[in-house]
Amino acid sequence: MQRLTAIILLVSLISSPTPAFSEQARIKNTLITNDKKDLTIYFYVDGSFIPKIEEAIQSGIPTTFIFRIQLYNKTGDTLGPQIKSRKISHTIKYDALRKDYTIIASEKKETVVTQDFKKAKELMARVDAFPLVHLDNLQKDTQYSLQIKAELDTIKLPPPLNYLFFFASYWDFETEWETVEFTY
Amino acid sequence: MNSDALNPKSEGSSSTLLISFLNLNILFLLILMVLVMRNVTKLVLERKRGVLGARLKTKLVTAFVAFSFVPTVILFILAWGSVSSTMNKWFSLQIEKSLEESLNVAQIYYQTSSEEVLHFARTVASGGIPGNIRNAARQKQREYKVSALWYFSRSGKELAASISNDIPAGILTRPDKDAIKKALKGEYYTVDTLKKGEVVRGLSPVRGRDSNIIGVVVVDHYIPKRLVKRMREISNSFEEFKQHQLFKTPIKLSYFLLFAMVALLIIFSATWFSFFNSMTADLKAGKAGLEEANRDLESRRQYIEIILGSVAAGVVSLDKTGKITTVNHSAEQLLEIDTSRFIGRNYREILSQEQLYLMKGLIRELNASHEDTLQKEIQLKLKGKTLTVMVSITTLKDDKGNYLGMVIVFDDLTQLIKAQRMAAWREVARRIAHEIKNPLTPIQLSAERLQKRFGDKIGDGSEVFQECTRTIVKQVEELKVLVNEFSNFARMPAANPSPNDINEIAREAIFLFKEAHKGVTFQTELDNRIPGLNLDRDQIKRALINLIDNAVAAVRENGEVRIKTFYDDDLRLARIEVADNGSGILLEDKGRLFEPYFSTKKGGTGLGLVIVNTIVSDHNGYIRVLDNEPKGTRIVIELPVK
Repeated sequence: MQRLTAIILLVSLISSPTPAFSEQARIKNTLITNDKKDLTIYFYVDGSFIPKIEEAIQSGIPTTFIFRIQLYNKTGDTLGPQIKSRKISHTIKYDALRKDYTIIASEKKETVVTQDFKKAKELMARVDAFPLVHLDNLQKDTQYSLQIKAELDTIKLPPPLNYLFFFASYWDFETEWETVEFTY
Repeated sequence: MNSDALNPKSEGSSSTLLISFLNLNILFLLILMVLVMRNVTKLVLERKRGVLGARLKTKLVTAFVAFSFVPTVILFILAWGSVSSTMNKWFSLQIEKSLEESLNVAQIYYQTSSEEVLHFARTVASGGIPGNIRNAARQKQREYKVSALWYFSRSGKELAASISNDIPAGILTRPDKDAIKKALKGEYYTVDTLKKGEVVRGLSPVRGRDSNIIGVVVVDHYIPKRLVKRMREISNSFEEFKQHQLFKTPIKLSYFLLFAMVALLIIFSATWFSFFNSMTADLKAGKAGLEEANRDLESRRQYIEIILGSVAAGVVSLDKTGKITTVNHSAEQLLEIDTSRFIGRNYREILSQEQLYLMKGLIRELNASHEDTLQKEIQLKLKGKTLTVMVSITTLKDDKGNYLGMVIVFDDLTQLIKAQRMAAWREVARRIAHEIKNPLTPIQLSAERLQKRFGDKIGDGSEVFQECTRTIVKQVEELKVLVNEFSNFARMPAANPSPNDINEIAREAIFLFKEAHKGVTFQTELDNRIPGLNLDRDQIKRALINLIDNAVAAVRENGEVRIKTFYDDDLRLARIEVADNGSGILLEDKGRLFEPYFSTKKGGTGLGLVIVNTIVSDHNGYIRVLDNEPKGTRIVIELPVK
């Protein structure tokens, strides 16, 4: 029985590698505000660009950050029903010939091309003025809980390297859920 | 840029497949490892305990492992060394440098082109908006040898344009208003992808005399598609190289794991196979042993069957449920049964009510005795015959004392008892003859002397005296006849056979009775096919006379006596039948007919049939008593024809 347990443990360790840098990356500078229509949010992922990911980007591998944003009603200490759940993505691709970075932010529906890697990283890691939910969906003097999480999407490798996802997955990052509570 | 490349991709099925494959491989390897370890432990323990064959198994396993281990390890080292060195060559510095240099050339081309278009745009813009703007645009475009040159007003309106004749029509597109608006803020360049090729575009604002921006100059440098393609190939090669370099360690690790896994699989499979092989050898040995045991068992079974078949006693075995499992040949003959109809059937279904009662009584008696065997002499009635049988019932038990069934042994004592009785009666007859015959003559002579001497001298009582002495003499005569018969029985002479015609003997015997018994109908049916037989004429005649005498007595002077002879060619038997339509013989008397002094006839000595039986036996014949149809008795004598 002990032997069997050891086998299962070993297999599970091999089959589901734990992201190596999950402890370093985290959501920072979360800001919740509103314009005339929507509840807008700002935040920044810190520590996401580890050297291996930077190296992968510089070698031309398209890299995508996924942001998961969820808004809940809050009653006392417990979470109420979910009001909104959104998923947005930021993708970067380096063109070695032109020496520029193309960044696509799904929430902005525009493509930014820059030769400045620092700026490109900033664009990848920052979400600005993202309209999460229409204000009509919120109630005055009610407590809400906003939860944000960022993670590296599966790196799309060119063949035959796509078969090595198994190893590449060690570079994944995944932040903890960042929770911000507020009263509207 | 290809936007597809930037779309986030969900987890690839190929990756999942790879993970599954790897995990499956690892799992298989672990299972194999566990099995091998288990077998190795078992082998070690077997060796410690000194189990037979453990040493041979160890040698076999060691040989298999050694033969597989050495080449597998060598193959692994060679393969890994080869792959490792090839990969090191792939990612060598020279290749990286040459690829980087190639990319640099391409990058410089773009860089130079962008600097040039920006420089020309700036130079043209510094001249302001000329009077004859169309001619000026054409002149500057030709002077700087650029692909196209545009003048735009501040509002984004095209003032003049000149496109080189070398550029195919419709390829270059006019800059949009956003681009012009951006250029009003300061000069910049872009690289735009066209349907056929790319264009490096430099935009610079045009200032008026008061330094106000009054327009924009746009200068294009067209890069043909084939050139773009070449440069893109260089870029892709470099990117691929960098990507592969990035994954150099994982690739090497994956190859290492693959080779290691294959090597381990071979080694463990060989080890497992060696165990399997030993197991097969064990099985083979086990099978051979089993076959040997089966052969031994079969030969024992046959041996027991032969013994059972050849023993004179009848043997019947029952299993614990009462089903008949064995019936030997003697039992088959004794009980006159067809074995195939009884094997596998329960004795309770087969036996008659009377036989079942007898059987149950024996079993009860056996159980009450607390012994394993019970022996008892019983009278067994079978198809009109009563047999005297010694039954021996033995219960069968295994080593643990569990009941397995029983064996019943029948010993037919009928003939033996008959012979014993016959001997006893002969002894009795001899003694009677001896003891009685001797005083008979003096008694007779004394009675005769008394009659002769005093017969006339006695007065009134002389008649009584005469009558008494006559009676004594007559009775003594009768006693003498009786004693002679006893004497004849006791001293039956040995048969003296010679060739004789049985039909003639039969006719002579009948003749003696025909005249004396007029009321009896004598019918003869003699078969002339009967060849001459070796017979003691007098004895056979005496036997027939005895039988006819019995038949005549049975019909009481008023019936039918039939004498028939028949020759059975197949069995080579001469059959003589004496039948009557008298009252017949009771079933219980039939068995005792051939016993001395047993008679159903009033005044019979009980020796007639005994003598007949003795004569027939002396002639190697056989006598049977049967019921005559529709009534009476039929006695059949069968004599062999040699």
